[in-house]
Amino acid sequence: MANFDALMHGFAVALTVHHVTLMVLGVLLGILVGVLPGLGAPNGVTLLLPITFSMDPVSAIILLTSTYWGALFGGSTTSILFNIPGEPSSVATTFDGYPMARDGRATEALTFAFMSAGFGALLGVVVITLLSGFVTGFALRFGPAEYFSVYLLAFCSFIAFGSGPPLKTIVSIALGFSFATVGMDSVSGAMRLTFDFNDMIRGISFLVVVIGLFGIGEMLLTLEEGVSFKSADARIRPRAVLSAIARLPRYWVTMLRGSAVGIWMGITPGGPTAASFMSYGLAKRMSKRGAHFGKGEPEGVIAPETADHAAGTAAMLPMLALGIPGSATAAVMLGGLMIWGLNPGPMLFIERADFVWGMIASMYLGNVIGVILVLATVPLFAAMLSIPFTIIGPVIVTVCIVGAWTVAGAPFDLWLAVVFGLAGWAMKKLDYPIAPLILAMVIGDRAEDAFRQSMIMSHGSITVLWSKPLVGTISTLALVLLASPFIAALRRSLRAREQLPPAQE
Amino acid sequence: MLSRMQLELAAVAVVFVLGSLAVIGALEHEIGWASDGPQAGYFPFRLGIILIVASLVIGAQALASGARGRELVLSRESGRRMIGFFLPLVGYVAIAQVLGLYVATALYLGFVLRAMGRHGWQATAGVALGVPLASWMLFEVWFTVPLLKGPLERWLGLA
Amino acid sequence: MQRNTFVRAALAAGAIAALAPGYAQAQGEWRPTRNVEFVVTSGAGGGTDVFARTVQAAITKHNLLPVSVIVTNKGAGAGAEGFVYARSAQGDAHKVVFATNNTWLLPLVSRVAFKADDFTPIGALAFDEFMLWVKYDSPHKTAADFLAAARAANPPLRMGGSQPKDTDQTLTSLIQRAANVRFTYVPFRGGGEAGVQLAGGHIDANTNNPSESIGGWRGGQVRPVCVFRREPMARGNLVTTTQGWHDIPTCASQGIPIEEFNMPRTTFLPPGTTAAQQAFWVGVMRRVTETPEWQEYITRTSQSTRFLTGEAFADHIRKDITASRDIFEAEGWLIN
Repeated sequence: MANFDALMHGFAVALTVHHVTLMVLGVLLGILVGVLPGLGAPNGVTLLLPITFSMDPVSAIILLTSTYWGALFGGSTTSILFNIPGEPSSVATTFDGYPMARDGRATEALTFAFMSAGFGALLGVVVITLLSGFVTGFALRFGPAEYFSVYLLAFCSFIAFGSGPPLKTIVSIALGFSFATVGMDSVSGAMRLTFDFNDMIRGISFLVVVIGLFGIGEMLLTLEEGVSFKSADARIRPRAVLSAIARLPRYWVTMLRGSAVGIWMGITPGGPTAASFMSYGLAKRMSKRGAHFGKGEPEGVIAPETADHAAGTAAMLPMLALGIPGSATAAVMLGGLMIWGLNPGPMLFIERADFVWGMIASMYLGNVIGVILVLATVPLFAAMLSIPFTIIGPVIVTVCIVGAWTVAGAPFDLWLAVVFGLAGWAMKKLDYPIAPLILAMVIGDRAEDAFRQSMIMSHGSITVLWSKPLVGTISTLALVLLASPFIAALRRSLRAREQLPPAQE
Repeated sequence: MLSRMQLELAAVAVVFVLGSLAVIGALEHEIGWASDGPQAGYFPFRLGIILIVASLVIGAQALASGARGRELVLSRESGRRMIGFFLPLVGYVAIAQVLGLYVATALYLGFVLRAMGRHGWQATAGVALGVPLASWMLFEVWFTVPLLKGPLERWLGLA
Repeated sequence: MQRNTFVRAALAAGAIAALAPGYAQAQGEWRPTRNVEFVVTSGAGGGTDVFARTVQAAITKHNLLPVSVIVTNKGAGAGAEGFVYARSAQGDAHKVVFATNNTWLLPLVSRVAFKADDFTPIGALAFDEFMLWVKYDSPHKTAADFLAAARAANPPLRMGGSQPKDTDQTLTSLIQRAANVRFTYVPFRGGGEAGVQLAGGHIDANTNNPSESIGGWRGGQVRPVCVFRREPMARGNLVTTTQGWHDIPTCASQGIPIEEFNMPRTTFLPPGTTAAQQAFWVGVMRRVTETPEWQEYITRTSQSTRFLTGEAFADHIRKDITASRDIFEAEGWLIN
């Protein structure tokens, strides 16, 4: 109950005209950077940092976190409408969101995305509110071996062989992991696969790859197939929004599962992007309609969106209580905390209760404001769909190229985006699955670090992954998830064989 | 214009080259498993080997694929449309390296809208000048994220 | 053409005239004419980033520049990205590199396309201290206890720190040599991460800067056992209910004979910049260190401020290279 009182106090702090105005401004700016590919939540928060220097810390964190929520919402918009993920964490939303939009169900897909995202976010904040003490202690139990097992679990729950050609899936995964190794190796300090080429020091940016594979790749496909965006049902109709909202409770299982995955990944911290992939993978396996995933299934939008936002909000807790950045954006906010004169740590909850609980209260409000504002922007984007493709197509290309520049400010990245655009087209044509490559790039780098750190600590013994109950459970669960499709297939074929003889009799 | 087999083989060649690069790059470092676990080259080396082997098998499968391999993945018409999109894009990026993103964006939009989209001069000029101007306001003024600039911006004293 | 040039010249003159009074003290004839870029050789939120943004805040607050400041983070490859970027901006004094000692140490251990003397030095503005930290409930009360345990331990105790072959690992090797012990060094993504790993008991010690672990100390997760300094830190406010930074003994007094180890917060200009440009920036940075914002930052992060420029700074770099080269050579880190 102490937390409840603190939260009420937090609402008193957050619910002023000044703070609500900041939330609205933050969310709006967030939506804007979220929509632009390349420029994402970390950039949005970074560019606001100088403005916050002259603010009090509560206002500052409210502005920054609201920007983050806005960016998370905005990222889904372009994922669904144009197959261009505005944010890394909305890549998984394209899998079913874009097919829905192409079927003329854009309104429905966007409504599902925003509402379920808001639901996930609120559930994440509720967990923070109720369990802050427990969660902090739990997060401390994560050493390198545990981190690795978390990444392994995320990977194994998404990768299911059998949907695409297995060899091509392996190529995708191996390419993703290889790209992730380029640049400075953070365990040995060696420059790997850079071939003394200055532009390779940065490594191959995941964001640039996404812009290429999805944005430019999609343009190539659209043009080659000679179809333009279906502008038939681009208008937003209030009734479609309402009917989608009414149907949302039907997907409560997916929403709860997605939120659970997101909260888990936010706390551990595997990050929102990996969370959305993991949630999508699990939903596909567990849903009765799993076979329809990838063809425009609402559950395929709801699952990644709830997880993405739940992870985004849940990651704020380890950030405040321990100084662990659960995402790139949280890392920037941590820098902000230092500049405002606050030190993340357990004492922050006691000494600066107004700050912590004001921020937590603002997370409830900010996300509600986020859902409303982002729904209000939908007509604007839907209107873009009715612009002739010969105009909007080239403009999207320039947005992608400019986006590739804003990632690191490097001319070389523009070429990289073009090359990956061509690669994205070829991969689609030849059934190389793109999603495993993206996931491998997202987790590859961190997973390798965590693995090698734990090997340094265990002096090269892999048994460290089963050395303690926590890490052992996660690792085993991961392997079971990886094996389960094979086991299921095996069981099916066995049962078929058993049933065959009586049928013949 | 392009058969499935041709595209498969081209893709496999790229994968093979990338795999070889990973192996060559990994060999600059230790590739073994020492007392402190896997070394810097351990994973890149093995990933490279996986890519090389997989590319060879997929290549062999493609060569043996028969009729499916001969079907077209890109008809002459589609191919022409694709090149018509892709070449201006390459030109755009090439020009951007020299003249900066603002000028290149204007030139690209101007060319594509006029020559490919066959829009009128007014629409073309509106979009080709409007997008770089909006980008300027958004990135340079508001976000203070400097975009790539070229001689024009330098001459104007803006870079 | 001529008309345009005239207009531009007039505008420029007008701008300078309008802004001039505030910068009357600026030395030399050079002053920036367009927006200045601070190139940060760490990611957003890193120590160098906070340093650069503090300088940015002080400059903005006190109008020390006639133009505005943009901060860009180029921290890939332990900062190599930023240095390579600045190196290619030949003669452009509108870019200022914010760094640590990685400017001159990174080229020793990593194959990177820049050398320390490529850059025009401005100066070091502060020095960040290093401390030896253990878990709060660790049985080792003092650094001497810890060393005794480390000598007896098999397998060796785990020492955590930031990226490999950087300050934390260098200090760890120095401790190993000076006190004749052996640690297993585990590199993490930064001091913050190493601090949390220590709080969780996954490593046995780390060598974080005060600001990286102050939250953990106050929260009863970790505690410092000694500071790598000639004398204890200056008397200040209490950090926990009973202790302040000044209560932490020096490591040398605890049986780790390392007199001094710290990390400078440095600034550089790209290659080929002129003496006038250098002088201008030295003047700006000097005035930054005199602002209350800067003092507040120094106190909060428990660094020592000492503005080092010109020959003194060059001398510091030379000495540090010589000393570090010996350690790197002994550890086998030296590249070529």
